[in-house]
Amino acid sequence: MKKYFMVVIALLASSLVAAKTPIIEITIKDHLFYPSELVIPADKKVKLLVINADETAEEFESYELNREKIITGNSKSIIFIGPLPAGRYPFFGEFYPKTAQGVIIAQ
Amino acid sequence: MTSIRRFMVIVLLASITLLNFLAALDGYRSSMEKSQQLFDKQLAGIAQLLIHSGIDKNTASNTENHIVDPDAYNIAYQIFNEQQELLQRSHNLPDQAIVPLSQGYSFKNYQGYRWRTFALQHRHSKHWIIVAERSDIRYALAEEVVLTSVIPIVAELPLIGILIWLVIGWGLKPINRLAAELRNKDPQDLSPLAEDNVVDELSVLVESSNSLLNRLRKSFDRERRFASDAAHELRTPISALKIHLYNLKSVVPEDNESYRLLDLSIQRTSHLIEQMLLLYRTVPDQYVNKFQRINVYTLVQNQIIELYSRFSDKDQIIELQGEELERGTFDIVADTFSLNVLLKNLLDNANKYTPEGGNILLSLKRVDKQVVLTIDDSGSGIDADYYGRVFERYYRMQDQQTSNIIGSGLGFSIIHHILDLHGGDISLEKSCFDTGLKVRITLPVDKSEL
Amino acid sequence: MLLTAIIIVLREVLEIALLTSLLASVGKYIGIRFHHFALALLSGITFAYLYAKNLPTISELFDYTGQEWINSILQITIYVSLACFIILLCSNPHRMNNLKRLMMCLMLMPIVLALTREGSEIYIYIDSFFHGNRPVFPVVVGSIIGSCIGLSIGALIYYALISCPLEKRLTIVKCALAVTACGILSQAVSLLLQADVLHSYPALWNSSEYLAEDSAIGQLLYAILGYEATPAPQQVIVYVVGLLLIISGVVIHKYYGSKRAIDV
Repeated sequence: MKKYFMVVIALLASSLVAAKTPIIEITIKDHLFYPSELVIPADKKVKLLVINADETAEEFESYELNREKIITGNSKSIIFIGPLPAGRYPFFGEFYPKTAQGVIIAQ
Repeated sequence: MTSIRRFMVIVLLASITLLNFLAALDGYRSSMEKSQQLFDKQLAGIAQLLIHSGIDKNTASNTENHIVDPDAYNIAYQIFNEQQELLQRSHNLPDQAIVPLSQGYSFKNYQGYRWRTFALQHRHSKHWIIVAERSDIRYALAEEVVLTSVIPIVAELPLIGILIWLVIGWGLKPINRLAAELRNKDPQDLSPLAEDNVVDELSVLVESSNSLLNRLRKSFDRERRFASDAAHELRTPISALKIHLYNLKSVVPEDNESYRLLDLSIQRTSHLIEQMLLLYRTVPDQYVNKFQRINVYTLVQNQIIELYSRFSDKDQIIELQGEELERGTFDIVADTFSLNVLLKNLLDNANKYTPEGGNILLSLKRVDKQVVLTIDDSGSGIDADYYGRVFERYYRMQDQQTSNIIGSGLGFSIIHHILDLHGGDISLEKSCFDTGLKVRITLPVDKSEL
Repeated sequence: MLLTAIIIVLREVLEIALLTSLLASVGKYIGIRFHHFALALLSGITFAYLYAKNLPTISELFDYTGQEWINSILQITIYVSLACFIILLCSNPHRMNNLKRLMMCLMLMPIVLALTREGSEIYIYIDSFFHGNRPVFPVVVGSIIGSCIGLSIGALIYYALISCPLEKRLTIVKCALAVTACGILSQAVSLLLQADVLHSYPALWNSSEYLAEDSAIGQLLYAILGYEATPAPQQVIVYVVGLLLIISGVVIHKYYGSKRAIDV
């Protein structure tokens, strides 16, 4: 029991150390992601600035990234991603998944 | 599980919904996939047709008519020569190739739409053609078609629900009917349930409850017959005893203690037997009564007159209050014989438990649809804790003053039976005198109107 | 659009339906009535509407991480009330009589909060369609299908549980609620990772090849167990710690309860 708590506390403590993180912008327009392909550095945390230029809300979702966030119409929001090992991480807009599709490439 | 019907409707409907919708979902998914494949094939077909029709040969780049405006808003194309120079395009695509020139399908976001593209190179001229189709439109088209087969599955659901509700209600009718029959059955009625029109599942239930009712009726019969037969049979030896006692009178001295006690015991036994016979004549489920309209006031009056000698023997003052304001105030529908037994018992008790020179007050009132008779005495009364017990059969007050009073302990039991018969009620209270008991009897004017 | 609507609505409805059916199946044991549930559902829907309406403002809070904060707080509260509920459910019936009011609150709280969270998402999704120029019909049909599937699963689970003997039913409900609560707790952690409140580490494993998260079974397991194909280490740790906390809570409560009973 105690051991588990130690691990949790260690993880919590390390997480509070904030570092300067690069910001990457992505725009939702007409239920499409621009750009639909994002290249980010591998093993490094990035700040994803999602701008929703549509009237309607969209939900940024990715099973591979474990991310899920509603971005209301005409607003912006921030999602932290990574550090990710090199690879392809598809994401999509849950409300319009047929058109709003994209992929994050960590390299 | 509170209701079989609710349980069955919900579970059946939930299962049907789940299976139907999952099937519809699966059908929708595969239909959409198939339709996309179909659209892809069509797209490739268009590319083949265009490139082989020689359309690319008629136009050179940089001429005015290299931008064509086909009236199909969701199909677009670009044609390039081997050097990747634009030869021709539809107006809704740019001069540059929207996807890299490599043979096959791809997706591209362009001008606010997501395009499905197909690129193809002509075998001889080495010209490239890119055909693009708006994916949202072809998706909407496919969905429109597929939806028409999904909607009936959704729309039929309320109908299925109503149907299940009705069918289960219909199926459960025999149970409801049986329940209603049992509910409406008079507690006194031990006649068997109807066995015709009973469904298989319930026949066991009906048969077993009928056999239970039958056994109950038989055992009631036996009990009654035994008691009344026993009482009847005992009458003869009692009569014999009485004769022997009479004969003994001339032999033993007047003041012989044993003789006096024997006389008392024989009187008590004889009274008990008479009461037992009365009791089994008035048990509600056996009693064949003849109800008729009678005046309670007159009945009480007559009963007082009949028993008056007993009261005067003990110097008791008996009074009857209650005025018949209009004709029929105290008329009730009842059985004369049993009501007389009731009154006789009540007056008997009052007489017995009131000391010499005491008071007995009877009063009669009409309250709504009931006639209320109260009998107050100035006897020793009963402790409030024992009010309930006196209605038990053979229960007698264990008390110094009352132990030598002749009684069977059946009086209140008989009263109870008779009141049951008439739908009446009895309650005990403190008397309006300093000591004693108030017995309140309520009798409905007409039991059948209750 | 139909499929999207089905998936979105089903995911959210399924979570609430599972929670409600599990809690309702032991509701009679606690003396909870239908109108309590109706009240909880109604207030949940009201809160969901208010939350959805204020989401643009909430999103901008705490440097655009307001949504994660609120959602994770909601989820942690759900975990806490479910954990307390499970622990109290292990009391003997005699003691439980005094706790009925508290247990009723602990039982209805998760329903209200879960509905607030999931309901607001459904509301935002459907509302965006009525304001766009896209066809609404498939979305409506999809929402009906999705919610009906979710409700049907909930109803079947409820009646399956009801038909179990009380002793067995309580055991099943306790276990199921415990894993659901821990699943919700690990989702809260995932949100805190997303908001960079917790530092992210590479996923512990990747089981998407064996069981993809977006498959039907994956979605069902997500709703019941909080299944993730690529969980962060903190999620797994919190899940295990959450389970251990509930188990130790139950053990301590039983020990304490039996000791008290002996003292009396």
